[in-house]
Amino acid sequence: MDNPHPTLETQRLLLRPFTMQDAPKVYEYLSDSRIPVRMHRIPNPCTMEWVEHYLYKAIHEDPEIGRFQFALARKSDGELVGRMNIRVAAEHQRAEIGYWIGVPHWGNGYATEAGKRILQYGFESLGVQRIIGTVYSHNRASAQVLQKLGMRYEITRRQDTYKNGVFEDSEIYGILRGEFIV
Amino acid sequence: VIATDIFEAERLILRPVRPTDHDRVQGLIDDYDVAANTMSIPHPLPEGHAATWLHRGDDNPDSFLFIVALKSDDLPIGTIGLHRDAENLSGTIGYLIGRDYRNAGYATEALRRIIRFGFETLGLNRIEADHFTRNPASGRVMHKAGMKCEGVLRQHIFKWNVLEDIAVYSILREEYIKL
Repeated sequence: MDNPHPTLETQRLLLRPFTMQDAPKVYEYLSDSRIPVRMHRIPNPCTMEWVEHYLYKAIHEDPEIGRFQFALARKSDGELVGRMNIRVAAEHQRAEIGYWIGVPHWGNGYATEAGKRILQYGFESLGVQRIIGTVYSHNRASAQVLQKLGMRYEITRRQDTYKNGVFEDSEIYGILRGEFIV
Repeated sequence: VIATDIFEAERLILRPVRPTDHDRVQGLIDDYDVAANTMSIPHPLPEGHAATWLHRGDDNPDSFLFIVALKSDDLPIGTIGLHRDAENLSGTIGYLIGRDYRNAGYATEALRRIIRFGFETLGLNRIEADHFTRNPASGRVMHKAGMKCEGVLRQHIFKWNVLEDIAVYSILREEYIKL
């Protein structure tokens, strides 16, 4: 692959690779517990050390593994507003997306806007046949984003993750190549 | 891990693998239907495959594999395994029963016994299993063992050049204790 960490564009957003300079802003967003309680992998409370390790791994990820992390930057002023990733399970020709948006930027449609572009990237550039997204069942706003992206509700995995002393239900949404409309 | 205990059911036992089982298990899994309905068994089956296949999880502390044998003669009629996700206190079951032993309720009996193992011996909170939707008989076995269908993941598994739908079943600790 000649462009290992791609940059994509939407109307309002630049989906670019992370740099270590993003760490303070990412830490600021992830310090609001409303993000980590919705994200399985992000510790609650979050730490700067965790953020730096997370960004370091994202920046140095071998693209051959098929995991791509995008910083969502607002084009008008360069402000980092969130993060979206896509990871490929090549043996099953599918990918999974995940994301968070910093709380001050909720309600602006950034996740839907970036998600459309990432789905297109997944189907057209990565060549997968199916893309899924998983949300905790209590995260209705995120479930709505996935539906707005054209993803269909498929399953509720009951109590399938254990986080901060609670078993959480997860919903999986999926879209097939033939269902995706640019 | 390498299992050491024996778990008794009504007509069956779940017991550790022994070297003398290899040839017989090779015969059970050298079968188009068995291979078509499981994730990890190739067809045609290479000679001696069972010997390595049966021990693929020996070094993994979260892998538990048992021979399903008839109490009457202790010979393998199938295998059943549980893979633990220790972080989330959950487990995933996979099993197969040889062609000559189908439709006798052995799969249901073995599944019930390993569910008990998962909750009572390992202390899990959730146990799941899945099947290709083109093989609904497997879903009936899961239902009979007390599991509930959670939904269908569309075109989720690429096997033998086909994108297959899978149905996911689960049972929770709170449901198990009421059975």
